[in-house]
Amino acid sequence: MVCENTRYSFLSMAIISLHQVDKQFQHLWALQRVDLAIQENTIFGLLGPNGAGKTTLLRIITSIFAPDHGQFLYKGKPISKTNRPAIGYLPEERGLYKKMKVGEQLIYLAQLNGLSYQNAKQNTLYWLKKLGIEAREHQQIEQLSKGLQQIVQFIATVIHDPEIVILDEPFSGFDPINADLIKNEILEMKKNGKTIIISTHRMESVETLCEDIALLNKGNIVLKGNKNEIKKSYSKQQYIVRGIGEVGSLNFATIISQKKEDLVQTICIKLHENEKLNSVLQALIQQDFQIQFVEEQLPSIHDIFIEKINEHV
Amino acid sequence: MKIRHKTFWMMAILGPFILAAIMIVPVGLNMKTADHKIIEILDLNRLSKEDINIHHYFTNTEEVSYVFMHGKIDEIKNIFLTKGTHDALLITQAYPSKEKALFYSKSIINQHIIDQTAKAMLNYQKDVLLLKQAKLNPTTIAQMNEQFAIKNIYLENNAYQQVFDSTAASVGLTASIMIYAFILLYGIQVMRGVMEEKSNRIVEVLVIAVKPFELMMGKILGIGLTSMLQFSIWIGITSSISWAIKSYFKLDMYANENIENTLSFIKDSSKAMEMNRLMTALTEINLPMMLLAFLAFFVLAYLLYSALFAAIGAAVDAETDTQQFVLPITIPLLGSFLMAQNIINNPDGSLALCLSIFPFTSPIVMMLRLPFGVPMWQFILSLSVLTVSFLFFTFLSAKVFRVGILMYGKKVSFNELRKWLFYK
Repeated sequence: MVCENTRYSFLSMAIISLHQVDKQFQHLWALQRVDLAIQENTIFGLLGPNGAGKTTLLRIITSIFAPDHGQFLYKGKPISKTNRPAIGYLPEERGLYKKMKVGEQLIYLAQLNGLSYQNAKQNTLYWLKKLGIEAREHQQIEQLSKGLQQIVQFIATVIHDPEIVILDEPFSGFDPINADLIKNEILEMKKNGKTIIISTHRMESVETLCEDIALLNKGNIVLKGNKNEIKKSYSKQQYIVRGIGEVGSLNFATIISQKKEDLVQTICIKLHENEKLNSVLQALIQQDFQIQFVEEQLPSIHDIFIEKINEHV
Repeated sequence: MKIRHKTFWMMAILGPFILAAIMIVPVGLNMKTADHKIIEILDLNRLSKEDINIHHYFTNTEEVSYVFMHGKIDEIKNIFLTKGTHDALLITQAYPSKEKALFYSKSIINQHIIDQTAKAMLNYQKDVLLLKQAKLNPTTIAQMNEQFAIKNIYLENNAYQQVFDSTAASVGLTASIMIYAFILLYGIQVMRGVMEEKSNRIVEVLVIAVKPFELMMGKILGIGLTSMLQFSIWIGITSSISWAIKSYFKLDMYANENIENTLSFIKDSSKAMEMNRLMTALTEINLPMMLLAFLAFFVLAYLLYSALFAAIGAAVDAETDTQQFVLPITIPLLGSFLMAQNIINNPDGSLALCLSIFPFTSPIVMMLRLPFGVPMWQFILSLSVLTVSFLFFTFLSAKVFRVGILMYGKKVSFNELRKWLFYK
């Protein structure tokens, strides 16, 4: 046991960690030598094209599948009866008992996750009220619109106050208002100390919500780490500079685009190799350009995703 | 959820009534058609009552009564055909005429009544023959007939054995049909339940909270307990109905302790004796033991078969794909029924023994054999094999279930299922 703890000490801060995990279905490798650590109280984005192995990875995290090789740890220790997290899971393909009433369905699912009837009932009423659908408590699921069914499904995921919340494509099927509602709930859960794993290929939600990401392709993790650090590492030394005045030619950078609105000029520049931003800014000041705003133009996660996947094709 | 469904309660409450109606309506219809007949008898022997009294031969019953006519044959026939209100006219020829007896009927006379009348006539004519041809006196003839009566008592045991055999066969067959019907009914409910949870994807949420094995067993036990509830309601209602029928038709009077009283006032003593034999046969079958065995075999067979049905439900995506898997499972059950006649004819034979040990046929075959009496070791062996098989196949089914329940859009074959057994 001591040996085991030492072996995986580098993962000890993580709430969930996978070490050299393999999973094979017949001749198909769903996961190959996957190393991954998800820190506690973060919003983690699991990205990847269809068939990359995301669902298999989630099923290992939810203990539905056991890895063929390697180890899956919760808080640094192997999963056991006494050492397993409470998980809430929102599957990509939503599903509820169509004939059951909203209230009794939520109570049933909460009880299935270990809550007493009283707590289940209390939580059901709390969440229905919080998401503004308390009037639907006694309606059958099939009588609700698709959007409302999605909200009920979301409540079913979080009703038992799980430590880890796994959301597979959480925003698909939501209108913008409900998508914002769910987004706020995710942020609130993070504030309340939960760990949230979002599996998606919709990059805008990753950009706004996730702190750490992992990119999975053909069963392999091809990129992982802090989202901002990854974006920085993919920096192309491009900057947006906005100010008043005219801009002439620059020695240390190339102007990629230029736009003028009234007196305000916005330029996009790409630094030459080994040049610094300050040199360019000094040159601009010397040209009597009054700088109002400077920002590095980092690549979007979408661009990084496409670039990384194309690398492996 | 299921017991809140209206159909559950409709089936639970109406089921026994429907069954009772199926059994009672034909009996009722039969009783209605068997109304009382009156047959006129014109005896051309014209013997005096001191020689042979024809009234002793044609005895009235609930179904038929006889009216003895005197007069000319044409007149009697004419009146019967034109003005008469009676159902039939029998003209017995005088000995030693070679003419046949004549039987005129205005309505359809039950074959049973015709047989009874013909038998009475034969007995009468036989005695007329003895009187006229052998010149025996009436007392001697009466003594001879007494001797025939003794022979009839000797035949009683055989008659009882026949009644016992057919009663045992009926009890066994009913029990086995019930087991067959309930296994299929509830097994397919398990399969459909699993398929529903799989197709509406709620299973993906459920398997986070409970292990696939627990989910499968929960479904099986849930439907099993629901069926037990339905069963209890049926037993309750059926007992009430049978109690009502018993008191309405006064069946208690055919019990052994009451049979003598019954015989003294029921004219058709053979019918009373037959009823008495049936009642005795039923008590010899050991019905409480049958009920216990039925429950034990039903529960184990249900667990065995529903585990297989659950695995099928988990493996396929659509109901149309279930056929190829359901058929092999139901073949042993159907096969047992094809063998039923052989088993009933020879309940202790080697075929019956083998099939009552083999777990996929034992629930049905054991039910067929039990009323005839089964050695205890065979009974225990059969139950043990069934229990071990249930555990083994539940283990295999759980493996298929675990993989299949989350597998979509895959055409499943037996070979594929075999591979699933070895997934980690």
